[in-house]
Amino acid sequence: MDGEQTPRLVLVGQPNVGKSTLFNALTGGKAKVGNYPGVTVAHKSGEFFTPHGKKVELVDLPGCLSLISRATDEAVTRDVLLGEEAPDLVVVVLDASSLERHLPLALQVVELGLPTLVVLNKIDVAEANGTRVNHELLGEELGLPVVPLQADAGKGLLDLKQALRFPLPLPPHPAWQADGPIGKVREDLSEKLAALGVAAADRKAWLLLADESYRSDESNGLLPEAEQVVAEVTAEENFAELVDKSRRSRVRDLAGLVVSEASGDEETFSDRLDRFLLHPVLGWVFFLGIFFLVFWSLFSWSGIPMDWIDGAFGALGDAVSGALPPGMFTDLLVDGIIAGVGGVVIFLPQILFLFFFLGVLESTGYMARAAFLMDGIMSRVGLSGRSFLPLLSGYACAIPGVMAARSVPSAKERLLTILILPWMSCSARLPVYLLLIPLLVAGSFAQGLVLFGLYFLGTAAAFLTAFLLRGRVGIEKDQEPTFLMEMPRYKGPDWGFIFRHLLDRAGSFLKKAGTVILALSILLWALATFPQAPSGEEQDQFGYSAMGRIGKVIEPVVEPLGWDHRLGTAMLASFAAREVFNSQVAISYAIEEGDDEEGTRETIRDEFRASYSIATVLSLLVFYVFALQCLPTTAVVGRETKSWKWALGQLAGMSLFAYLTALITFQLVSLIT
Amino acid sequence: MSILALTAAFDWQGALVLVLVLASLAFLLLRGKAKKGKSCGSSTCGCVKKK
Repeated sequence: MDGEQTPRLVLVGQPNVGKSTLFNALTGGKAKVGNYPGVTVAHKSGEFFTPHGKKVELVDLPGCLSLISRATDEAVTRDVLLGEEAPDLVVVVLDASSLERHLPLALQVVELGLPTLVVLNKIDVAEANGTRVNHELLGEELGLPVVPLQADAGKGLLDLKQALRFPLPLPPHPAWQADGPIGKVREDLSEKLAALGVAAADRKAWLLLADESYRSDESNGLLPEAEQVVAEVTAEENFAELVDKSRRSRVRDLAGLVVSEASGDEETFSDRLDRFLLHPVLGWVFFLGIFFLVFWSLFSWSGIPMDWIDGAFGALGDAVSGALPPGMFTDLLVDGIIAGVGGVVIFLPQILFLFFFLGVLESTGYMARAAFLMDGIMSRVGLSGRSFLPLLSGYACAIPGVMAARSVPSAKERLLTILILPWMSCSARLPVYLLLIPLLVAGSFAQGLVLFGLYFLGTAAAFLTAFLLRGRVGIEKDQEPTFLMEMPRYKGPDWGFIFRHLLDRAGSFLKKAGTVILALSILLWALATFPQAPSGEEQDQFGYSAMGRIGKVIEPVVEPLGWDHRLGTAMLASFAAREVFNSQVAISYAIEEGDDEEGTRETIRDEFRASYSIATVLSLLVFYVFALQCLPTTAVVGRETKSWKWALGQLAGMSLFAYLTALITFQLVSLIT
Repeated sequence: MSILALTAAFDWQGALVLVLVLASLAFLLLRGKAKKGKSCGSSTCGCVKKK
């Protein structure tokens, strides 16, 4: 290692083991996103100083159950460790409370032969469960430094930093394999690959022996000569099985040696709670009850902060029109910017309430139970619980959800997940729902129920589509994907995590309102203001404007849905960002009022109620549940699936479906009412 | 016409509106262009950067 260079440390561990908590604790949460050399995937990296004053770069890699994996995100960790620019130190984070399950990954890293340090996280949880881990003995057995710590409380961090003495710990010898046949074959294969010019030949030889699927993987980058050498070496013996067997036996021995349980059969608090929350029937009652409470609270608790924001925008509009002389710029400020941006920002409290509760559910450990319950349904439609987290991310925004689908190992299941994901109601739809729902029903209980129904409608349609599409993407009808997940123990909410998460959400929401929505509001105002209706004539300005004329052109298409030109243009503008629906409605009413008074939420609703029937509001809601009005999502789907056919098919299919369901809704409800 | 009279007659509100509308248009167009081929910026999603 070059003395001038900053050593690069990577964090490796299973999902949920506390890698990111440890990363934040070590770097102070100051992360930047970059690319690891040779790996075309962005990751979090940060810096910290050891007690000896040495600057160190720390990289947080995606969670990974095993280095022998087909999931795209897990392959990232494998590729980083096998790459030419190997890290200077691998910090393997293990869960002390379930060491036996985590040890195989640590042994795989050790087998690679990179400098390694083991961190035993959640040592407090292990002790609370009556599990004691002799970390000194584990260190002796592995030939590595082993540091026990509790990352969320910052305990043991100094010990970890002190263990990072330089030069860094030497690669250990995987004693359980070095003497056997695997050791010799690996050495032999490594020499042959090195002679053929294969980079990192020793580590590559290990993976080629340990992972059969990697041998046949076209992306392994091996030349035909090297492929032939590998085929010759691996022809006679199933080394993958041998490696796995010897590792399993070593894990059993190690666990028996270093782990001692105080009392084995005692039922913990988590176990008792899970008897209700994971019960086949009661579990669903709790699941539906918990999520209904979340939606109900959005309407019943957020009224006061929403009134503040509403009042603030109203006062701002009055102040601006009072301070500036009447004119075009004043109109733009009041009817365009304040009405347009205010029409979206008003819903910030409700969005924050939603993410606050999701944060509480996630940090207490309930979300993992929700994934377990959902797995039962999802496996019947060709998806597994592995798709749950990407789908859950889709409720915030489809784009990170589509990207998170990389954690789904099966390519077919991943495609299916990506195809249905935009039907999870994202937070951009929320302002539209929140504007329209009070037009349908009164009272926070009923409003919560309707919102719950809209989320359910999108999710149910997504699962039904998955069921219908499973054959098209190549998933056999009788094939039920398997899913193995570890249930984290219940714990109190992690307020720090929730607060950071809320700040992040509020920041991105306000940033969008202050940039994209602001710019779109200005353009929409201009389109709705020009050309100006001749003065002195009784003329509807919106109808005379460019926007009104565009609306008239598309009116025949949207009329069967019960919409007029105003709603038609709002729907068109929503393709830039869904929230713009609210801005467009607010701007169009503000311009029509023409009295320089910003239309408040209630006045807009009153006008809306007077102009449109319940059937129209319902058809709008149904359309917004199903329409894929997000061009960035289509771009990301195209990139992730490497197929514009699927991306454009998804856009066209969802738009057509949204139109047809909105049409049926309007026509049916009009017949009844 | 004197400069003062010209200044007084100038529709500065109209000019400001024109500038803002053009700036918004430019912002939206350049934003779409700048995004091509880059990561989404999320610190957790690990999005692909094409080389």
